[in-house]
Amino acid sequence: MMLQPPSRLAWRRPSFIANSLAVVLLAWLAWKTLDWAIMSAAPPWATADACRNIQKSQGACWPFLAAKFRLVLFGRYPYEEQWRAALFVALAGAMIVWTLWQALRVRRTGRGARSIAMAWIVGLPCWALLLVGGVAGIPAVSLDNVDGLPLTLLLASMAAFGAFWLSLPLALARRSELPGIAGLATLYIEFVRGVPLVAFLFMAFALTPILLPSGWVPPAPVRALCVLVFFLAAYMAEIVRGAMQNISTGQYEAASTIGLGYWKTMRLVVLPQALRQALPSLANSFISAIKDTAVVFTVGMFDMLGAAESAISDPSWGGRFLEIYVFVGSFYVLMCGGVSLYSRHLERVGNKQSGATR
Amino acid sequence: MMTYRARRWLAQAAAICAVMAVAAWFISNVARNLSAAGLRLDFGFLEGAATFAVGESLVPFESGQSLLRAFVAGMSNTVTVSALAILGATVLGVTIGIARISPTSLIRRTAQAYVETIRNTPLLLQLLFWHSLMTQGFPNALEASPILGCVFLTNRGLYLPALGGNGESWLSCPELTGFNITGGMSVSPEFAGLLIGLVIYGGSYISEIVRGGILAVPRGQTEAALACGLNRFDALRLVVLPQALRTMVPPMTSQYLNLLKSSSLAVTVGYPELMRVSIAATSQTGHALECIAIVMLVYLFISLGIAACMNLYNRRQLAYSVR
Repeated sequence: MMLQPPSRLAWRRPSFIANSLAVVLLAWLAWKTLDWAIMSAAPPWATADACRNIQKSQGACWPFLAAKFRLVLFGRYPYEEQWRAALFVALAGAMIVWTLWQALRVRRTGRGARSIAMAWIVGLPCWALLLVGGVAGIPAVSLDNVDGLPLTLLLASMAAFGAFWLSLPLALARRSELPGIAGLATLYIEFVRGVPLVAFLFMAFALTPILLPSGWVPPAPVRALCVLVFFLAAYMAEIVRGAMQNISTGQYEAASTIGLGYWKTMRLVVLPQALRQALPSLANSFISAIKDTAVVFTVGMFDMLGAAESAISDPSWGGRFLEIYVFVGSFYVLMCGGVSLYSRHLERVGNKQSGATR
Repeated sequence: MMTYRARRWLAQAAAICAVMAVAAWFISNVARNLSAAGLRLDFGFLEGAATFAVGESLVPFESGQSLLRAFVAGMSNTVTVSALAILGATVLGVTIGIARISPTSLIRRTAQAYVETIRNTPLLLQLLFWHSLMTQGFPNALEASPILGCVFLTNRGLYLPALGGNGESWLSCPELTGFNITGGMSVSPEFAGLLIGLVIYGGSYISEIVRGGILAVPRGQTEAALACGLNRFDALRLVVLPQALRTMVPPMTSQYLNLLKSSSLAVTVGYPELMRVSIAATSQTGHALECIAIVMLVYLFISLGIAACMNLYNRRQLAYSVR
């Protein structure tokens, strides 16, 4: 750069000072973290007594996590049957990964959407069987006892799946030229987007005795799932609508020139292009779905956060909380970070395909 | 075959009738269940006395005052914490956004790792973490040693110096008298935890928006500014950021709305904002429907108001900008 001072005076540049300060600060933070997590900490295979001499702020007590991790992961699921919950987590995780990978193929070639739908339609009852049991000799577990990581995965994947299918007609309705239908859809979307999720969850849990006929008491996960589906659908509908707006009107005109009616245009011309463009943003809303499942803790459901809170409230471990929060947080970072990497990969691939030069 | 126009009217009429049928079913359920329980739908309960207290608020409230006043106190708490969170998150977000485009690779990658971690963990987990830190991570009042002589960090709150001393100095410093700390101003641990959690979470989203806005300004602007002799920081401040603001405003506004709605998560950390007051009022009086309706209307009103202002601002920007 022509107007910077010569390099032997580089240390007098303000940016050099700021950068050096930042480097020193980061090194100190890294040292403190390492010290807390490993060097002053009690290893997970030690007994509980090893933690007695370690202050909360000086070192971690990993035996605490070792004693509590099953409670945090599976909640009130019966102890002997927890292998079923673990199997469910593995299967659900594998299926979600496969769906995301398959979506790439659908995006590239336009085919294979049917196999995704078939896999989910077949998979969902299998999962229900695995978790809840009750038939074919598998011991039954009440749906209210499905807690922790299986509940998070179940709510997130089913809510995202249901919300996606609900968002497509919502987006079409919002862009419709029939004022009645467009007005209804706009009312719904703006109402749902203006109110926090906690209010809807509270409404579902406190108002069901009033809103539903007496005697209808759906189990708690079903209520939470319905709220999440209707909530996420509004946000996804806005994403799909934005993508539809990006499609040039030439496409619509060409479709009507060939003689395609409204529904055929949408199904064969508009929605494939819109969904292809919207896929990174839809992946981001899947991340939001995973994080929103944590909010069900506010209405008393024991997802991973609720199980973590009950593990922390055990007084015999001296009020430590950081180890459990780090454990739960790392699961969320793994899940959401994975989907976030996928979404960034999609954006890069999309830019290359559409000819952007950066 | 029906004409095109007739089909359109029929479709709209069918949609509206379907929605009204569902609404009528819900309303009939409500009417039947309420009458079976002997309750009535009315907002008169708001004049009744509240049996709960609202711990802290700009509108002072004690147990025994009217429920309407409790709701107003809760609303003032929501607005307070949201406004402060928006302010703090903007400042933090701009700083981290600038760090994310720093030429130093270490700073850039650390900021990226930090933002990714914050954005990939649920806000509720972060709020619980900060709340636990505020209530259990600090010593109690007797053992706390003051920082700089005037700031106490205890598990019952943060005690900071307040303006307006008692005739001897400009600041009134908190100090330990007996078992308590008096003087100065105190911030409850719930409020502090909530505010810090919201600021950090919102700041990371805003940093992404700031980064996107800065990257959207053409590189020629930065190069021209540097050619004029400005250093990098002044080029950013005087040339790039003002132009980036136009791209940043719509997503920033939706992030502000998200912060406002996220403040409702305070129900788990004990800060008495609107949602929590509504839940307490429901459990006291049993008028769940009215309380929820009040909460929804308040949030809707504020959200739609802010969105309308943003639309006006957007429309003015489009009129002025050279497209």
